[in-house]
Amino acid sequence: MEQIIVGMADCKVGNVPGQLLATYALGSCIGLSVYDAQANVGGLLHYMLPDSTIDPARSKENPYMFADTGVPKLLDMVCGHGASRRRLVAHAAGGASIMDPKAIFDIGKRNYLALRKILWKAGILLAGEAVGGGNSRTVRLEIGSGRLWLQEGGGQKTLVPSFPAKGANSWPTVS
Amino acid sequence: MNDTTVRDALSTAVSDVLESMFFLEALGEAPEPPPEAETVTALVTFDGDPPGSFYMRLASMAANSIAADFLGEDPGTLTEQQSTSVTLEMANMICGAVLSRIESSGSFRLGTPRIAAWDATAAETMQETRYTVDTGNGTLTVAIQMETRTCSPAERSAY
Amino acid sequence: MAYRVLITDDSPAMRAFVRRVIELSGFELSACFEAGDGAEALDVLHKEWVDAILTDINMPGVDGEELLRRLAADESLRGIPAIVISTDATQSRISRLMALGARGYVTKPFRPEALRAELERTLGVPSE
Repeated sequence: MEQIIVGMADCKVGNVPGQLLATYALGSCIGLSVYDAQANVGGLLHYMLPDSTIDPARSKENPYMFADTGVPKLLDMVCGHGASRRRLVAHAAGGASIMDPKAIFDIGKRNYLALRKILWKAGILLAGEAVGGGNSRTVRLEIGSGRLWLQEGGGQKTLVPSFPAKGANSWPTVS
Repeated sequence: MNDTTVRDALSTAVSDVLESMFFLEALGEAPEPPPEAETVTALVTFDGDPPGSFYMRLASMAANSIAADFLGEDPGTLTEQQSTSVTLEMANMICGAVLSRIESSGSFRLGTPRIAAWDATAAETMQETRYTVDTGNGTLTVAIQMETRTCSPAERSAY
Repeated sequence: MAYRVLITDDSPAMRAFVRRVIELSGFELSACFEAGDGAEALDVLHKEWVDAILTDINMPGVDGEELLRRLAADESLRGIPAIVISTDATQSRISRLMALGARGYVTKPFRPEALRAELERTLGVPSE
């Protein structure tokens, strides 16, 4: 099993069954996973900030740092590998509130709201999410099966069983 | 009904509506814009216990970007009609959310929202509460005016 | 499978939003009718078959509650599943509408995923 690490402000796509995309230490950052069960293509993005307009130069260097530049790139990349936007199943993890007395804004929440806005405009609804709270999270996405694992505060759960199982995932479903 | 309860209801309603349907966070209280600022105002009158009026005043720039995001459209191709419709619906939802929290008898009827001039100067018989937030794209001011009464039905029934 | 739906709300913006949620939830629409109030909705329903009705409550003229009452009274229409989308979150209203035959209820403001859940509950998960 080839493990592909997605670092902070990073994004990877997999299209070979058996590949495992993984990202760690999702605190206030958001990990967005998308998977097309028919094309067997998936991607995982780990972004840190909601809005690239605060630092356009930085976003040119690394679009994955920001939601508004990272998410469209992730979608382009998976579609470039044969995924269809309509078939993508999306899950989000992270957006935790990190207690920082100097922080005026809740970056985790802003990252999460930015994600929802961008996905809405891109025509994608979240199938499941594990966001907010105070815990750091780890997400793993397996290409081929589409299985998704979430690790949070010491516990681990399999969130998406192998496809096809539309609507049957055990992530806290979004409602 | 005391002003704090109404203020809390206003701020919670604004946050709920902004976050769930408009993907915006109410970024803290802000000063009210001056009368000459470029804004659009929606008015919703309501029957209830008590009856009253609800005003929502939104920075024009904010109104356009909010409408584009809500409809999933490009801001450049958005019509004024579309923008107005979204503003009115936002006012409708915030008003409904506020009243759900404060109307003691639990039944109220909202009138059809309409665009109006900003004139939240309450008559003497009305209690008025206002609240302004920064949406990130401009300010949003909400004001609710209700007929005052000496004792709400809920308080009355406690005796 | 393609669906035919009727969206009833006096706000064009809300009708557009609801339509988008239905489509993004995976329900392919072969027809999407819109009505600004209950009377317009009934006009449509007497001419067209729909698989589902989504309706607001607070509308001028024939409101959503009256619409549900008339649907329940009409043999040819009472089987059509209706989902109510309304700012009114009071238990008494919700109970009354469910008793009138509403199959689902979504309170405004709502997250798109909440409406999707109600659609899936009422119509089933859309097939590919």
